[in-house]
Amino acid sequence: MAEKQFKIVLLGEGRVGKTSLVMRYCQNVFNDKQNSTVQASFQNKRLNLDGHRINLAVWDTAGQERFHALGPIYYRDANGALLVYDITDNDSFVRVQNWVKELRKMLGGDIVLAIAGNKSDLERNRVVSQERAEEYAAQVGAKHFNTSAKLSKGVNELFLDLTQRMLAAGGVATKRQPVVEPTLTFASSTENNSSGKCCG
Amino acid sequence: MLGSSYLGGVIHRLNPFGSTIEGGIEQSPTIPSDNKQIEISNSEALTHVATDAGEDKMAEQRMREPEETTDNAKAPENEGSSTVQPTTQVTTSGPVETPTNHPRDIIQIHSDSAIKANPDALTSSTVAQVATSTYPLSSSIMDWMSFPVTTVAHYGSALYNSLPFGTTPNVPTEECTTTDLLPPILYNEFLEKLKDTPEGRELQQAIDDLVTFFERDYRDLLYNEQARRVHAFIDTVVVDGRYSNFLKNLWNHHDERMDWKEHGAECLEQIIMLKLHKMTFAQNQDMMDADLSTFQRIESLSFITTQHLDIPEKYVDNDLWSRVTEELLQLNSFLTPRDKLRCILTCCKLIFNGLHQVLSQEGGDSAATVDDFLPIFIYVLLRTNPPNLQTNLQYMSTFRHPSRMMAESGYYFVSFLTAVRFVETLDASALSIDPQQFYLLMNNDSEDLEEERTEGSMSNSFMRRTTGNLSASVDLSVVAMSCPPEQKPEEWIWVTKRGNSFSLDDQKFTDFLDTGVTSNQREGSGVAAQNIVPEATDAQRIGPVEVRVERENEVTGEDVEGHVYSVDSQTTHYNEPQDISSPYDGQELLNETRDMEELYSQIEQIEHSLESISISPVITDDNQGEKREDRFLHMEAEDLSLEDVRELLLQYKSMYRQMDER
Repeated sequence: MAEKQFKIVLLGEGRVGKTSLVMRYCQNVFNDKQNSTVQASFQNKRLNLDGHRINLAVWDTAGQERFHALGPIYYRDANGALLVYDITDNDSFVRVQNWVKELRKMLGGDIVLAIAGNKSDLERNRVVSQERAEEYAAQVGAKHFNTSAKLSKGVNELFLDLTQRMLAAGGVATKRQPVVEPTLTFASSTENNSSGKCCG
Repeated sequence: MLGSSYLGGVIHRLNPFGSTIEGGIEQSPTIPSDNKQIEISNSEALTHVATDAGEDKMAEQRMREPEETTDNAKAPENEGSSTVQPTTQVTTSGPVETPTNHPRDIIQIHSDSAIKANPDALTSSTVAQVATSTYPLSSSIMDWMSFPVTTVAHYGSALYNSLPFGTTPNVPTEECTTTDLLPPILYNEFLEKLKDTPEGRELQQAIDDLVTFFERDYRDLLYNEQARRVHAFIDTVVVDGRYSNFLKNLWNHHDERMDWKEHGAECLEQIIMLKLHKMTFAQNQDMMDADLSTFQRIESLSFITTQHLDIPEKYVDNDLWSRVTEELLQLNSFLTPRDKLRCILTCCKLIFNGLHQVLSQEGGDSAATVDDFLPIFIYVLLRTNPPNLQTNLQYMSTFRHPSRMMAESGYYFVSFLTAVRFVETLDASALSIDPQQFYLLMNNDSEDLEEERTEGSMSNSFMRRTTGNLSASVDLSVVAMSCPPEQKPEEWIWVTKRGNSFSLDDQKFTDFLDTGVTSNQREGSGVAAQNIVPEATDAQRIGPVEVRVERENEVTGEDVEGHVYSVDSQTTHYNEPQDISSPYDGQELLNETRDMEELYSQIEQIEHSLESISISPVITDDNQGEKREDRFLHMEAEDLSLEDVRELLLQYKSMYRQMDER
């Protein structure tokens, strides 16, 4: 049985804990600084779900504003996107909304979205209310989760649900599938410096 | 910090006295006054203890590592030191034969330097010495250049020999495995059985057919179409019963559950792309132009500092970054998309490892993320400015099998691409810089650049960019051609050719090398050239190249003097027809234009003065005047020739005189 490969792109402002979230899921560690060999920016996770062998590749992206315009280079061909904000930081939630807009514009409905309100262990400092976040997620066809990478809460549920929805959406990217057209042409058009065209 | 286990069987030891050192901890005469020197040799000893029979030493080294990282200052006293000089000998051991000047071994060393990922490994300068000083000298370069394509396959096998079995650096857990790197042993078996079994020969025939097809038709195919053919071929082979049985049974004895399709496809891509490289890399002038403009763009951005990119002071590590620079410059030395991607992967891992070290020493509660990584990668890219950047990007993204772009090396490729795109598009708002200052720096720099280009083929602005880069390399073909004799340094330390596409005048090239060799042998230094691609004889293929010459103090190993030149095809007078672009003689055209302008201004003056005495400049009652009117009445200024303008001027002058007389 062929293994299905999904690419999940990870979006979120710096320091919202997006990297910790993925490390918690893929390695089941939280900021394990002793283990310096773990590469946090690209993670693989293999799992079996509903009789499918699945390989998740999680692509971390740089959260700084100055790299915002380059996002499309990362999220082209992504099956799913995980947007992370910090429940104690309203700006990070606004950034998430910007990304959602952009993803929908660039990739339409092809991409499955999940929004994670991270650092739910800091509930007392919450500034982004859960109702507001859930309402927004429903509006844009995403699903909202409260997570805490630190306490390992909500993380597995989040990825499981995201994977199930990607599976339902088709999961076109199986390994070693015959190539019909070469899909990676973005670097060949060097004049197109506007990264927006890369996935157009 | 698991780098040691992954250095593979290839070990080189540096020795100041020309003899080979075996084993890890070597007591040599110390130079206590030179701390830097001690550090270098210490880290080198640490990394390169793994000899053939040295498994236990490797283990010992691994055990020692934590201590080393936390207490660097302690190490020099324990370890002793050795001076590092260009006159080094290289020992290869492990799965490789004894060292010779055979290209296989050379590549081996090279690739080993490319896969090192231990931040405690050699400094770039020592690696560069190893990599370059063992290159064959002129005659053997030429031998290698004329190797038939099939021999290049050995390059691949040697390359894989130097990799350990099956893992990427620093990805230890099963959950985190990547299929990016093919175990060396598998590729070797693949090559072996391709020759030795009937099924293998059939597959070999199919590959040869594909290559023949390319040799005949590749010029008619678009780039993407070429890649599609290659990928379709690979995809077909792994499902076609005629060939797939060969692959299916190939590695059965290792592990029956092995993903043979995966590995088979990797082997196929590797062997095919080795053969097709000369046809598929750097194909058109557009890409050359793109390379050049990116090169110049990066050049003009050389003023960017770590502060501009908000790289925290604690991450600044010039030694490490020099190593990454050295690594990244190897990009053009690799021939297949897969190897190029691995080169980038190695660069990224080096940076990440550095970040992890800083963070773990700090004891903070955060892991290194791509947020920390990307600005550093961009900064290193700016400092490195690897030649043929756009061509490489296109080559990798087009010819690497798309399904592979999902894997880890694909991720780092995208990071690399992001860095390049950022550099291409950045303006003041993308940096932490005052816009006005940005504007000034940009323009200053482009003026410098302009000056360099008009002055001649030389620039030394590279020095600024490569400050702290201990390695030295020289692009030689251009040096030989366009470096004025009085500018040639007395002592050439290393000669390295970078870039894949070159037009070489063999005789000049050899002469140049010979000169270098003799003088250097006298000086006790080494001259070497690497990765000359012989097939590229098309003059069109000259891309931007760089020339870097550095001298090194033989005692301390420090750079005492450096010249770095940048040269591009426009400024290379080599082998290019003088009147390649324009049928005009430029100087004549310029003079003519200047004359015209002068005459125009004279006419204007006269017309103006005629008006000021309110007399119509047009005289119709005079024969001469009528003629003039007839001839010039309906003419536009641009239709006038130089002669016309002169005539008109003379007429006006005579008119003016007439007016004056009245």
